[in-house]
Amino acid sequence: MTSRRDFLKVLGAFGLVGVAGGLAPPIIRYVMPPIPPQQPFPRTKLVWEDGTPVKASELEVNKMYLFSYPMVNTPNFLLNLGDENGNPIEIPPAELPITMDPTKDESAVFKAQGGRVEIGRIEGRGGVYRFPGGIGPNKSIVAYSGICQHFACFYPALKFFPPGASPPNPPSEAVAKGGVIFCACHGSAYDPYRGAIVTEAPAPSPLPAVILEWDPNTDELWAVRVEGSTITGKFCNTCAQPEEMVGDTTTVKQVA
Amino acid sequence: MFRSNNLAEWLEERLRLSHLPFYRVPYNYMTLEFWIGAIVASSFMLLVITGLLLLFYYKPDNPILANYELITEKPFGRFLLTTHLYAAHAMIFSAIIHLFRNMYRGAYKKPRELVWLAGIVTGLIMIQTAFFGYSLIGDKIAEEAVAIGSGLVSNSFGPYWGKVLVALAFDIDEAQRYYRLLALHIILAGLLGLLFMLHFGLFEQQGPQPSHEETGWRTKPERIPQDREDLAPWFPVNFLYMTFLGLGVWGFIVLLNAISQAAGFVHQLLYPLPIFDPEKLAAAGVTDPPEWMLEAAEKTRPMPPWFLVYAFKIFQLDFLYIDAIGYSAILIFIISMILPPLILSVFPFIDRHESTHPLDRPIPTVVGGLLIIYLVQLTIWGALSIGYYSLTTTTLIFLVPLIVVVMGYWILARYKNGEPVGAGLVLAFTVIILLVFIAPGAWIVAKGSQGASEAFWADLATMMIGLALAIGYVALLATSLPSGESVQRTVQVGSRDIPLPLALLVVIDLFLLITSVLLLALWVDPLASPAGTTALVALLFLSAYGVVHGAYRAVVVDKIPYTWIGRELPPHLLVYIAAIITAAILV
Repeated sequence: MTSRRDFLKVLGAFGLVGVAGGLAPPIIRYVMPPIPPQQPFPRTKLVWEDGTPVKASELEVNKMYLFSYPMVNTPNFLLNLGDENGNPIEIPPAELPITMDPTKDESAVFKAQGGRVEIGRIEGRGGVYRFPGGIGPNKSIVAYSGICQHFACFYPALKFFPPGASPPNPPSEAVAKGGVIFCACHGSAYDPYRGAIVTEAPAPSPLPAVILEWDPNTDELWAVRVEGSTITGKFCNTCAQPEEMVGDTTTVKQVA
Repeated sequence: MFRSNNLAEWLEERLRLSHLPFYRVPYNYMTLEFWIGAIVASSFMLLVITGLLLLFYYKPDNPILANYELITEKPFGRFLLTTHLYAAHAMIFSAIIHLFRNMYRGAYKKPRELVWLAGIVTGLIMIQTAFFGYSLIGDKIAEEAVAIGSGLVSNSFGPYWGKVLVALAFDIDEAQRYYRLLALHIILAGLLGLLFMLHFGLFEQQGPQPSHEETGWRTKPERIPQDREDLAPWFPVNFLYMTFLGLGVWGFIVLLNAISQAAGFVHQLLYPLPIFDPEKLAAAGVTDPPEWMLEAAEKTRPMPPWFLVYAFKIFQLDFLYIDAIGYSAILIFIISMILPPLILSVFPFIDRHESTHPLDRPIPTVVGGLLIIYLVQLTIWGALSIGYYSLTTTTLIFLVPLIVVVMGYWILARYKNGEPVGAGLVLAFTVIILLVFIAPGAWIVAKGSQGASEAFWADLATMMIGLALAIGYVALLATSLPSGESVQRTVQVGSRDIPLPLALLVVIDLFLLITSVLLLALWVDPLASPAGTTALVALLFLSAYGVVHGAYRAVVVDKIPYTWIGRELPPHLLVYIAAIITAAILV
């Protein structure tokens, strides 16, 4: 009965595989760190470093401002967008894909190039989100996550280049014309005039949009939530301990 | 039906495992006596794995909170911490057995002197690693360990060098202490791994000492000839033996841990969980610790883990403290830490007898045996009572085994060498043993019940245990006497096929293995039922042990034939006992 011998040898191999495989789930459960609780988005007033509220009319066109939201370690751009001559431009609302690949998704690139004002609905994997467009007196003020969606580079690697200002070593002519948020790490480019959609790979998704509120009576600004893809490197946009969230105010700094 | 041979051949062509340069041994060396070192090594492997996993959540700035959260909030955290402790117990215990076996068999003799010395150094580093390991917990016993360790070192090495050594081992800044202890524990564990490799490598150069049944207690041949016809190929025979033995050891360790967790607080030396001081727990940030944790703290008194209780007891023998300024504990340090390894180290160099028979080697047999007996006695004495002792009590307690072992050895050695053993000698021996039994009773009667305090009973129990161990040791020596008839090497006859019952046992093992895997992955809640989870892991290891043992039997059945089911049952019985215990704990 050599077959019975072979049977026991096969069972022995099963035993070794079984004990190794059986240990895997407990080890993974033990090693998995606790996921921080999901917090509500704070309603946070934007203030200057001296504590005075940021007025929408104080923001210079095409300058780069940074502020933290919703966590203390998640920087964002605050931009008052304009044309080459420094005149503010109205940024329209749009429905944007949560993930997109400009090298593969022909329709996304086509529609993105279709015109700055008429952004239609762009289909992408992972659903869509609503980008509310610019706010403020000229509907030109927007805020985006300042962390590149590719490998999480941030300022000064990730920068806004106003129209006419070319990033060093631009990967394409479109980027060389300026008017982009460009990441020097791996050459990803986003179009801040169109909800920060990806215009140059390898970034896989638009920069998450920080939803702002503007009070026309006082001209003050609030950050209220984040829409779009999850900020790179975070489990969710508000998964953090309470003390890691920004409070009632967050400081805006001009960096260029 | 199955074509496992094709896979085995495929692997063999690529891995060439059967060509590994390990020392080859005959099939009849596949018994536990030749594999005690593998028990030590597999305990060490389990320690490395659990220890590295424990490193994920250790916090040197707050070890009490880290360990509290580990055992109350982390899935399988309690399993890992308790298994790490029990694996350490198993490693130290099996290392002592390993040492005793090789001492008794004279395995340290030429050409294995360096294997023996490397083993002693490895053992010392093992104890030191364990010391820093239990200091890391931050519980009551850990704090006492640091306090007692500091006191012993500074009282042994004087006002200056003592402080230098204390600073090196424990740091002067308490906030930094656990960073240092963690680093020392891991560095020493790494050193232990390297020393183990040295010890094993030296061993592999010689192979195991040939069995006394084959050499007739001679030192020749020094090695197992590599041209014997009954040598087993390292792969798969030794490999499978090592694998199932390792899995069995792991399963046994985890099973004992599960039983201990389910039993709760029996004795602090067996208790598998940290025993935190409630005030320290509160200071660390734990506001409402569970009731069982506070109860355990109440029942605990200052005492190190069992493997250092002997030294703890020697510290209490106050007549050993010599009156020298700043160096009062040096004698205690030498007796407890230096002398035992030193005595063991000289055995290969003073024992040059051509025979490996224990009755031909008076110093190793008598001194080595007494070392082990005294170790057990001191451990039990330390666990039973605390206090300071007179020279008289101590001498009485340790004189009994000395007399019995020396006289027993003398009588047995004379008998073995064919010299006359006078009736008077045997009578004297018997009378002494009887006196040891009778004298304490007479003393109790004379003194009345006042004399029989708790400490007295502890002293008496220690003396009686010493007597029992000494008689047992002499009996062990007597078994090595020639039986008068020439030993017939019985050739094993039996089936060279795998009978159905054996295959069925293995199938049941595999069923239990799959069950434990599924329960662990899908059903059991490690936080709600830590003991049950631990028992399931034990069942996982032990059922795998049963299954791999089955494969081993299939491989060696040509050389070690199947005789009857009773001989195959014991390894599988362990699996079924584990299954019953697991079910009992879970339900």
